[in-house]
Amino acid sequence: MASSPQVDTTGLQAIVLGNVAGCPLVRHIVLAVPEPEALRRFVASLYPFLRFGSNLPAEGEKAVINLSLAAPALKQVLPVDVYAKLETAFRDPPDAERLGDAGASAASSWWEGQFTGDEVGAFVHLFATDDSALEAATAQVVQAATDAGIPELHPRAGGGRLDARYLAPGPVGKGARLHFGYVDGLSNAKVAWDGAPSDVRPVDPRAVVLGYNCDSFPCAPARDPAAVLFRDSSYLAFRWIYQDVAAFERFLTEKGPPLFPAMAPAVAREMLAAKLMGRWRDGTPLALSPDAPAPERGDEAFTFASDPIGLACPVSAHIRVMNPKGERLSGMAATTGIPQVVRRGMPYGPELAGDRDDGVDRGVLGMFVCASIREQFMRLAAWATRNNFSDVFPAHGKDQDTLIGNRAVPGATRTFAIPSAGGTGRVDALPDFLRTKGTQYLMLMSRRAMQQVCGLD
Amino acid sequence: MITALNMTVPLKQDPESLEKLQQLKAAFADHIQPAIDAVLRKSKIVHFARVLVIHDKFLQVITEFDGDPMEYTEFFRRELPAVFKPIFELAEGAPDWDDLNNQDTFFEASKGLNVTALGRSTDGRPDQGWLFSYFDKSVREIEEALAGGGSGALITAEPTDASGSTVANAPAGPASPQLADG
Repeated sequence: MASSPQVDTTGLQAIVLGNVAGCPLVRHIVLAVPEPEALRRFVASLYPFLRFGSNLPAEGEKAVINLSLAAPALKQVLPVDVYAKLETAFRDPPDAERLGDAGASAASSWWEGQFTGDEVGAFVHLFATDDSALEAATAQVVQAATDAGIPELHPRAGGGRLDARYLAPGPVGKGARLHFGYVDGLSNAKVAWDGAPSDVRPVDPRAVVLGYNCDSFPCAPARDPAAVLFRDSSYLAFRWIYQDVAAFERFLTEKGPPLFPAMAPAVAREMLAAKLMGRWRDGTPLALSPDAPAPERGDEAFTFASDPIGLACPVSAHIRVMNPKGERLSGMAATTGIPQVVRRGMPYGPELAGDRDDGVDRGVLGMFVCASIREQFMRLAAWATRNNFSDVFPAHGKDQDTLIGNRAVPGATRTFAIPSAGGTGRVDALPDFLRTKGTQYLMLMSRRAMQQVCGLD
Repeated sequence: MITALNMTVPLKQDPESLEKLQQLKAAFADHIQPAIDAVLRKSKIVHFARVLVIHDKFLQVITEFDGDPMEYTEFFRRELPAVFKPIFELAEGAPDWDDLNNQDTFFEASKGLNVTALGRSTDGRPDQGWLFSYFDKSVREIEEALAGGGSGALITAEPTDASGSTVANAPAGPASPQLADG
């Protein structure tokens, strides 16, 4: 395998480098497909304010602005033969069937019916330290779009934008908590931009940025000159995910105590929450501490190699499906390996008070940065939809990721097996905890790609 | 979930390409077939496979396998470039192999050459058409049943219970820690 490249990060947009530090407020502004000249004018006016090379606000600034373009916008400004070299999965509308978005998550219901993905030209991603900084950045972007004649698209039926903010802070030194109560950010591996992947920074940069196509990290454009043009740019899969917090908490209450009858009900609830995720809600991996939370071990490296049947961490637990480290992969997966994506995301909507659904929209706005939508993002979605990539799963291969699986997928089981030394507990009717409300494929262009594609001086 | 691939490749009709086709046909049994056989065996997901040439006008790769076509095509692109390269070089209108030898374009090309079977899918996938399978079990399920493991049954009622109840299942012994609240 060719060695990992050293990447000049000064031209990478902020969110490729990490969650934007110190900015707990996020807003995604969706813009329509512009005419070519309008796009160039818009990018030119916004370009001086875009943040490259750091995931911190610039000195003296209270906001970070990033820009991603959808395929219809790039089609307006790229030569036909260059556009044709972009990944087909990016150029085509998201394939909801292959993403496991069936039933209530079907593409026909995305964006609350306000628009369809092919009407989207760009997302502007705003990260701010406080509300006033967020509104100031918003006004700046809206003015630039208005001046260029590009309409804003509002993804909410009531006309709102996609805003997100962290909920209550997590334990000291950890990320904030998400709606299901888990601490965020622990499984998000760091990228070895220096070209030397290690235990601390295990992700190869070729899994994140374009322009370094090889057998182990295939991407498109694969060959020059288009590969050079888009080098150090990334694809971005944006997901708007509703979380049914009431259903989740009710599930823990109803199923936890009978599954773990020797435990006090409150402890049994937490044990079931841990078995679903593969981590205790404070972040402790079950692989390291299967019987009780041990938050001081949350950052330790671990694999599932010593737990082949899931006695500590069930084989269909969310983090184990998304990154089955040390697990023996089978069939095709043994050849293609574990896909790596970089996650950026933040919860939206208020915390649910109590355990009864209040009808308020809440969930997570997820951004998945990768070099190949098909090879990485879609493959992980397929693994979540059908657990069939290792012999640790039942031979039928129809079980799903316990948290994010969509039970309406044809043929999917709703079974969750929880092995223990004394036997196997089983849930036979896993509910849907999530609902997809929108998916958009975008490109986060590098500074140089943006300059060349949009004709910036 | 058994998936059918009916890849149907229109063949170039110039004399040089037709000559290469004859060479491919002649070499198939001794050179190409063993390579494909080894990879299919390794995959443990392929039920059946065969390659046909129809009147030197079309080449068909027809297989039935477990899982998703996207993973399947990528697996074979990586494992069998020496087989697919000469096939696609004979294909009318196919991109150069250097352009095609990429997970994205290879999948799109394969998908574009797949012919959907007549009829209605039995598992809700409209791009599949009708596929009859007596067992409707994965290769692994069949292998386990034949070996005496697993459930031992190849024909069962639909397994999914959508009643919403949680049930006990304690195959590993009498000390199962769980429940029966159904």
